[in-house]
Amino acid sequence: MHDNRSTDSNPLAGSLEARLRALPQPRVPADLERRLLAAIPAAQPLARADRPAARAYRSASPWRWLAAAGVCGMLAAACLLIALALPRGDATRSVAKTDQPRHSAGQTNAAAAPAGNRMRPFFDASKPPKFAWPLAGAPSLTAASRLRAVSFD
Amino acid sequence: MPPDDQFPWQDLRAGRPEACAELVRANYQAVYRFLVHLTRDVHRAEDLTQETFASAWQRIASFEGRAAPSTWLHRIAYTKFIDAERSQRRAAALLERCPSRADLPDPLDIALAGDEVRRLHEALDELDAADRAPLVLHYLQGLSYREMAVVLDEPVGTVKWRTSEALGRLRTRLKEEVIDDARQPLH
Repeated sequence: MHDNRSTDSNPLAGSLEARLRALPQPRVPADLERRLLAAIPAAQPLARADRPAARAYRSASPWRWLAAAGVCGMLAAACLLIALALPRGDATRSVAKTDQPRHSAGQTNAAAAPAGNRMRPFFDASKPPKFAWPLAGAPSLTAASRLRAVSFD
Repeated sequence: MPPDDQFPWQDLRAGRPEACAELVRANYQAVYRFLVHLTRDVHRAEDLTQETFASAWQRIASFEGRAAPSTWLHRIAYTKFIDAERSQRRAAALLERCPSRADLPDPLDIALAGDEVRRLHEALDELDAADRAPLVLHYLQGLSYREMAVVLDEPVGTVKWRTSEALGRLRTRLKEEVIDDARQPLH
């Protein structure tokens, strides 16, 4: 198997290849063989595939893979269950805000409100609900209204 | 070349000293000559040959026998040579390496073999190791392109191209030498 391109393009190439093949080879030191033979270790390590640990691993490997897959599946199922069981506060609140009409303070019906709304005061402690002052004939005020300081004197 | 079916692979993998000795006897000369041509230094070639076989004993357990043992050993030898060249290149920054034509194993034989052989040896030595390796493997060691691809860790097409290029450069060097000789005055 030789390169035909070089021989075709140049007639001298063939002779050069023949001259290269005919080059005298360097002499090998006489004691090199003896040294190399002496360097052969007495006991070679066993082939990797024949080691007892490798055999045990190879025989147990299908079960090992099955066990690993089972554990991974159980973990994934547990994560899914936890995610489903957690209260979805934000999502429910946004839906309640958009879908339900806005109730006045007197019309609040705790029994009719969904579970998410019932839990809302507990979670939204920083945002107090509207409060109607019990004053006859006076317009209802909210906690957010600004009151003058003289009203409390 | 497919792996030799007659070779006692099982004995070799099992680390039987007889099989290892047979591997040494069958291949050490080729490995040594390959390394002499690459290094141009008989002492380095000897050291690298011993390192090659020491490395082979370490890897023999994992040798799968996909390639012929000689190809496998050439591959290890070439890797050893590349590693040695890298470390020597670092050292060469401190100490410039002299051309080692005097270290060639048989200068007398070469001289006796004739002027043409001497010219060819010199032109071969002046090539880079990257050019010398495919030429030595193919023409002096007799490896096929497929085996050379394993040794040089390159595709077969690349190996063919490299061999052709190296042969062209060798031819150019030989022509230059002939022209230089013709220009020299006769004594």
